[in-house]
Amino acid sequence: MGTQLRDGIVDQANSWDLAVNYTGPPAMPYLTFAGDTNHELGSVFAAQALRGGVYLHPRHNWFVSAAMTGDDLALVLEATDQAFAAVRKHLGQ
Amino acid sequence: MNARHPGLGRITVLGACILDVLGRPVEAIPPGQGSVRLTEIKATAAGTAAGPAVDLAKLGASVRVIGALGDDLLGDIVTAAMARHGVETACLVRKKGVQTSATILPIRPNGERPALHVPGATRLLGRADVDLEHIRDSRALLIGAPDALAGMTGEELAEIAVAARSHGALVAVDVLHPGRPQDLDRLAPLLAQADWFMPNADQLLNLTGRASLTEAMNDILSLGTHGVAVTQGADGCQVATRPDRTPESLPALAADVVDTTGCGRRLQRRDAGRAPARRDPARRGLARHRLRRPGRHRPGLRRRDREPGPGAQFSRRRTAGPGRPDQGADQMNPPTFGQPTFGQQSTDQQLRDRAKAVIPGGMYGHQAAPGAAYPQFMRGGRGARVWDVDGHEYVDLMCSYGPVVLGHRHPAVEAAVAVQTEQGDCQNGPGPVMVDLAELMVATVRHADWAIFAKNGTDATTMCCTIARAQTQKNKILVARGAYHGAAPWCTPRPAGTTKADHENLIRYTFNDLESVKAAAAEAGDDLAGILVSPFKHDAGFDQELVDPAFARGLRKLCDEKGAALILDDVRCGFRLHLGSSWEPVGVDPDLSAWSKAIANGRALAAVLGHDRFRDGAASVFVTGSFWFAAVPMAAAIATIRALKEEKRHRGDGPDGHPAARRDRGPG
Repeated sequence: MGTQLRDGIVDQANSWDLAVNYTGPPAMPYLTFAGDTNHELGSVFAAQALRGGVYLHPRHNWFVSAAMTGDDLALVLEATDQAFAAVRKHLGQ
Repeated sequence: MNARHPGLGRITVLGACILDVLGRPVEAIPPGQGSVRLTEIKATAAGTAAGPAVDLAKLGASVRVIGALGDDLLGDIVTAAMARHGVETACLVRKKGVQTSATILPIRPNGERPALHVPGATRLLGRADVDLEHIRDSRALLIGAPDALAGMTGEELAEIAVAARSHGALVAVDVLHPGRPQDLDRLAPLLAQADWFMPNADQLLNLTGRASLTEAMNDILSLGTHGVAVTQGADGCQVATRPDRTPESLPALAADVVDTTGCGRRLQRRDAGRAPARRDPARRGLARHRLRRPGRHRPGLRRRDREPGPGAQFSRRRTAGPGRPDQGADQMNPPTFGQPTFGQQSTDQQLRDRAKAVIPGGMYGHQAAPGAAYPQFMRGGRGARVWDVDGHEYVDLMCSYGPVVLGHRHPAVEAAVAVQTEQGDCQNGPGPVMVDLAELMVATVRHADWAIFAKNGTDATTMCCTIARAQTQKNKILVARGAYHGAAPWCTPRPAGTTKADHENLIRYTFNDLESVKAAAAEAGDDLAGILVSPFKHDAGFDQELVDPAFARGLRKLCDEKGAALILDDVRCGFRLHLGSSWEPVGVDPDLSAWSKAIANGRALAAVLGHDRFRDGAASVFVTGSFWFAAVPMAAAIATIRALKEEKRHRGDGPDGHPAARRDRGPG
């Protein structure tokens, strides 16, 4: 599930033309945006993901539990897609 | 996750939400102004929606309930009764000036339950009160009591069922009233779209006007329903499905009936918490029939493509970024899923205000909310979902900052906790589970010959350093620059309140840079007690870096040469990457390792594991804590490790990818 999460998020970042680093093992990933040293974009991303019903963290690695289902994953990816959209908007196109 | 886990997912229950007030035992209503003393008076959320909603929540599903209540106190009570079990109640509508559906149930000594009922608000639930978006994200939809939902036509009910099914949800239908043939006319459009219909025998015979159950079941199947499950009380139940249509009997399981109020007879399994009894025990046997969507094709129904499953999400691409900004903009506010608004009136804000007065800084440590948009206070969780105090639901990608590896309230772990809690937790000595757990840890982790238990990661990392120093009679510990090993004065990332002396026996090196370690070791000279290292670089706020196996081997070699302890801080990673030390896949075994977080799936426990070379040092130090020997977290750890082993057997590999298996990646 962690691998699917990584592939989904990295694909989404590409599709929004956003340069990200998705690092760490699939079960303990962390996402940063290139050059985002003060976590400004990371915070926009995390806040929008939260609004979309996904609790992740802008400044700490995430954890994927064994309880994650396909439904959960689909929901996460819906929210992260919106979150990337929010980052894109924040960057002013 | 395997089938035992509450991976029931999101289930929406729509229909009757009734407050049952019951008293027992009632032999007779006393004459005049007479009074009778009862042994018990209780209130429960009941009805064909509220009852199953609570049961499903107990089974671990993420349940949303849709129904109509009055704007009265009874409505508040029904809402609270469901919310306390984690049922999401935000979609309940409150009808002004109407009373909440309610029943007074004087339970006779033999368990019979005559009912005194006010139909109330249930019948006012209208099609406009049901947001189909709330239906579409569910794995299953239970429509409880469509016969009582007089505010909707059969076609409107069918529309709701179609919305659910078009997104792959299983649709089950139940009825509340005894049933008349004209009721079936109204229900027919709905039943044509349902996967399962689950009346009792009397209801089915009344609805169809048949004398034979087989004929009656056949009538329902002819409407287009995939399957019919008819309960017959102590006689079990009959199940028939298309295309075969031959009823199959399932026996009733024996149960001593005390009272059945609020049992929510639908979709229940035998482990549905502590409901006192079941009205129709046979329905338990239906679980295997129910949550499986039947594979079939119904030409009359135009179905959208099934939700293609998570895999398809990944290939879904937008036209690349810059040209599409406004599409994102109008999708910024997903209408369906807990959109937090922490205004002045939110419970979270009230708690924050109170916390400000009595908790320094309002909150401290790693659980201070990570941003203004975040809730500070959480109410609970199940599986991969958590709820904040205002009822917003989230898919949990933090897992309580690591501890919850199997999912919240994993049934096997919670069962072990319940059993041990009954026996004892914090006592004059540890429970037998301490030895059981030590044996299990030693058998599970390759480098371990012994175990010491504590509470938190800081306990474990600190103890590793103490044991290393006791064994080697040396002082210096090498620590990676920027690495987090806990919050005691020697390792806390913030200098406030620490002294120079707290850090003076630490020498820094750079993760994955063996030359920097050699330089640090040279600085330590003949006073090197140990090298502390994380399985991979996971410093908060920075890109993560998997370990270079050559670096890990280099540390091992250096420690062997110097007689120092190689200490692996497996607090954050332990049992998340590999069912053993996180460096087993790398082929490097430490002398000492620190564990906490995931080892007991959220129960307070830490451990130090060590090799025989450090056994004497471990036996020489005095380490303890009031709660370090508590038995309940140890029982939880045993259950957690067993469940992880089970998981591994099912999946044929360890938890999701270990550090040596993949290099980090990303387009940036």
